[in-house]
Parts: sequence; structure tokens; C-alpha cells
Amino acid sequence: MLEHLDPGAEGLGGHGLGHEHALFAVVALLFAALVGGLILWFRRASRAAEIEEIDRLLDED
Amino acid sequence: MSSIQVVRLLEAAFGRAVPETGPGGRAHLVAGSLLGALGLAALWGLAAGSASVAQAASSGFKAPLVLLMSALTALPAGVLAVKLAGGGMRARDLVASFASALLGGALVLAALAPIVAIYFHTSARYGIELGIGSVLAALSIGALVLIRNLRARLLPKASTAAAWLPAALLCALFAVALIQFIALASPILSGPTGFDGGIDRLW
Repeated sequence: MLEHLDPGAEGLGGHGLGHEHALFAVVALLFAALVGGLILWFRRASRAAEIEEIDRLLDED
Repeated sequence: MSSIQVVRLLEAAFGRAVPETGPGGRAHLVAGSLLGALGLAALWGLAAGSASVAQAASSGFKAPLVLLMSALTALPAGVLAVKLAGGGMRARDLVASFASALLGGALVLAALAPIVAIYFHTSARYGIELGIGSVLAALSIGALVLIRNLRARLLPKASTAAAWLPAALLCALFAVALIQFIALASPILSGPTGFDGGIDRLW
């Protein structure tokens, strides 16, 4: 069932077989997309947090 | 990002209780902690691969990749464990605590990065060991931060086991996922390690 896995194979990112390179490429692309989304989310959250902070300070006054 | 927001991120990363803010503040805590952790992990990757420019660039990309993908792999089971353990915690409490723990661990990696870099250049024997040791130290500190943050979010009368159990499960699954993603991304360090072949070669 797991014939495609070779326990003795070298690391997949550097010296692996063809399909292992493809798997790493997919993971790398997913990672890049996630980081992009994270940056966009952070920018929105940063603005929202600042507004909440200003509201809190106004309420205290 | 204001200095108050940076202080909030660092307080949470050190495992100190952060006053509950609104949804925007919570989202900022999670996203900021994750981005900070990825940046610091990239710094460690640059140091760990500093034997050559190509290896440094490769490790600078792979170290944050391994961190983020391992965290995402472990998170669903951790959320389930929080729900089963009770204690009044919500999934977003775990996510915020976990993100802060990742930042805490990444701070350790970044703090040790100069030592790792100098040993890779000057010691043929201890460079790899120090690189692995810095990761183990980061894992330990991250686990400590996670437990402290989860305990701070428990209901007053809840058992501390409601924080310990999900934290232990999450840390174990994170470590298990980390081993396989390191194998997927290897070489990250500038030499062979026991982790290059994943769990098959390690166990």
C-alpha cells in the first residue's frame, strides 16, 4: 500500500525523487499563499485593533 | 503597528496574561504573532544554512514553511482536545495561545541564531548539534508559553488539566508533524542530521 514511500530516500526538498519534488513544490506554493493571506489579514486586523483601542480610550474619557 | 500592539504581542509570547480585547485585537494578536514567528524562523534559517548563499536562501524559506505547515497540521486535533477537555475555553482561545507560543519559540530560535551561525562556521563537530539543540530549546519554551497562556484563559473553577491536556496533545502533534515536514524540506541545516529521513529513519 505504501510502495511509493522509500524509507531510505534522502530528504524530499533536496535530493528526493520526482514526485517528492512535486509534493514539496505544492507545499511551498500553499505556504506562499498562506503567508500572503496572513499579511492581508494582519493589515485588516491591525486597523480594527487600532479602532477598538481608540474606542476604548474614548470610553475611558 | 503601534508600540502598544507590539508590547501586547510580546507579553503574550512571554506567556503573560493579555487583557481581553475585541475581535480586531484578537485577530491582530494571532496574525501578528504568526507573522513575527515566521520572520524570526526565517532569520534562524538564514543562520542555519549560512554555509553558502544558496543554502542560506533555501533554509530561510524552508524554516518558516516547516513551522507554519506543522502548526496548521496539529491545530485541528488541538481544537478538538480543547472542546473535549472543557474548562470553558473556546477554539479561538487555543488559536491565540498557540500563535503566541509559536512566537515565543521563534524568539528563542532568533536569539540563538548568531550562536548557531558562528558554530556552523567554526566547528565541524558541534554545529549540527547546536542547530538541533536550538530547535529543541525553542520547542520547550513554546510549550511552556502555551501552557501558561491556556491556564490564564481557564475559567476560575476549572481544573488545570483542561489546559494541560490540550497543550500536551498539541505539542506532541506539532513535534510529530515537524519531523515529517523537516524531512520533506531537508536539507535545512548545512549538514546531514538524523531528521532528514523523517520518522522512518529516526525511529
